[in-house]
Amino acid sequence: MVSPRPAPPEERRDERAPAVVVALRREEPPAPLPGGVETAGLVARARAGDRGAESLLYRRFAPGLFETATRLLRSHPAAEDVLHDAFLLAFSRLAQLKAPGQFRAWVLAIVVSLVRKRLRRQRLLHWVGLDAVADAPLEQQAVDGACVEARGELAVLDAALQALPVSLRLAWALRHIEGERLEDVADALGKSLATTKRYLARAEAHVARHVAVEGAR
Amino acid sequence: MSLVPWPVKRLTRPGDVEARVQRTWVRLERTRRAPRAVRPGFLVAAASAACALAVWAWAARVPETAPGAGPPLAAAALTHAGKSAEAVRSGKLASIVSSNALACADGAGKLRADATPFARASADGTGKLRADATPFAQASADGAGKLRADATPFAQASADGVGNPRADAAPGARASAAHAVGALPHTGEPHASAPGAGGRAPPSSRAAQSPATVVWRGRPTPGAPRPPFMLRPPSSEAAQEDVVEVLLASADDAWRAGDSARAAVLLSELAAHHPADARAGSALYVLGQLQLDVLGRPAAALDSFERALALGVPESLVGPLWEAHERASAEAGAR
Repeated sequence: MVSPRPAPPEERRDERAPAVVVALRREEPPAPLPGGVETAGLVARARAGDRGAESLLYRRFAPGLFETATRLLRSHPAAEDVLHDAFLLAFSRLAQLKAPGQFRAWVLAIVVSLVRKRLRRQRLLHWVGLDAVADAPLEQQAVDGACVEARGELAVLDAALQALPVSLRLAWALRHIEGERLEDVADALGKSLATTKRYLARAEAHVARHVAVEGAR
Repeated sequence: MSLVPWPVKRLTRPGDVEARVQRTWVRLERTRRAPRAVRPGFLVAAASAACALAVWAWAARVPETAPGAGPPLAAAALTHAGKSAEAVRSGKLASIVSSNALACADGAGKLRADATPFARASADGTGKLRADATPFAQASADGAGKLRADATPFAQASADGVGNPRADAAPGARASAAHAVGALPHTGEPHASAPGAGGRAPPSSRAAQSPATVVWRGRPTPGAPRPPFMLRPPSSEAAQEDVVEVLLASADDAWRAGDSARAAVLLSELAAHHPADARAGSALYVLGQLQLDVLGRPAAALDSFERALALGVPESLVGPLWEAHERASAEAGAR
């Protein structure tokens, strides 16, 4: 069984990473662009109409959010659309952001909301025989150095997640793939913490039936 | 080995992230700079409003000519007589010169009021002529001193005196005169129908004694001046004299305009309703000349000459009158 897990601290993440991942650690993601300026300060400037601050906010958070959206949607074009719509909405409603320092979580909630709409629409289309094109399932998003075994497990995991209801799938992915905090997952889903935990428990039980989980063997 | 849960994020990386993110930013900037797209609902509402406006404008328009009914009514005149003639008698001539224009004339000249689909022309006895906005088109003149011209989509015009004479031009260019004692035939195509237009209408108990002429001359003149209406109080001898004068002037105008039929009608009205006037005999003489030489009606001309002899004519006309009488008798007998 998969036990509920707290937010993954970096040190623990390193301990649990398989060798193949450790071997890839040299391929660090690009440095956040640009650093040194507080997010809250950028949000304040963007609220004042500073387009440069908006650009900095985008460059700082868009790559990570794009990766998240791609993993959730399994489609690059759909993820681009979601990223576009999310930042468009965020910049137009920036005045509604209560905690400027929580800009990323706020935009993440918007992204998740848009992703959920798309996934539900895809499900409806699937019922009428129109399947959305998923050009980026998890196994195809594997890094270049990933072994065959890892790709196989990613494919199994992807298939298991596809069988889940949208809300449960999003909750599990945000929590265990993206490593979001439980509170952020609840905020992104627009659910209470208890409901989110319940979603996670159901999703973990489902995933555990399909994917071997370390420690559960 | 198990990948779940943590290594998944590190094992996967969507391809070409930087390029896609940059492309999305460009697209985002373009979207934000572009003018906001009009909502479909707004487009539908605007289209509906435009259609409604077009339908309303079409319904409110005044047909210049009757659809499919040939040329417009050239002239239609009606006269009414009765006890309350004084009222209209003072009102001179009320002429509907088009579907949306009304002219009122007296001895001093003609007054005209144009009514558009949005304008109603009215005049009262106080000497004022008004144009009020209305989509309706009815023209009327009554002996109480009111004169109205309303343009309707049905192009109805009427001159409503005490005797309620009316001339209505329907979409089929029909003209009617109700409660009119007499009406002149129009010289154009016979679009006129209904009592009074093209023949003598049945007398009405309310028919007035004074003449009221309703003339349909076709299209209105854009921007025509709107002089004050000069309707005088009823029972005025001066007003009665003015009516005769206006009838003569109008007949003269019609004659010079080549409208002999209308001129004959006007002269007939004068003789019929103002026999006591000193000019009635002369009018009958001129009428006979028209009937004999222009209209080709020697019998009617003979009747006119005999009535002129009965009423009396100026000395200068006695000789010519007898000569004309003999000629009319010859032609009428020959037929």
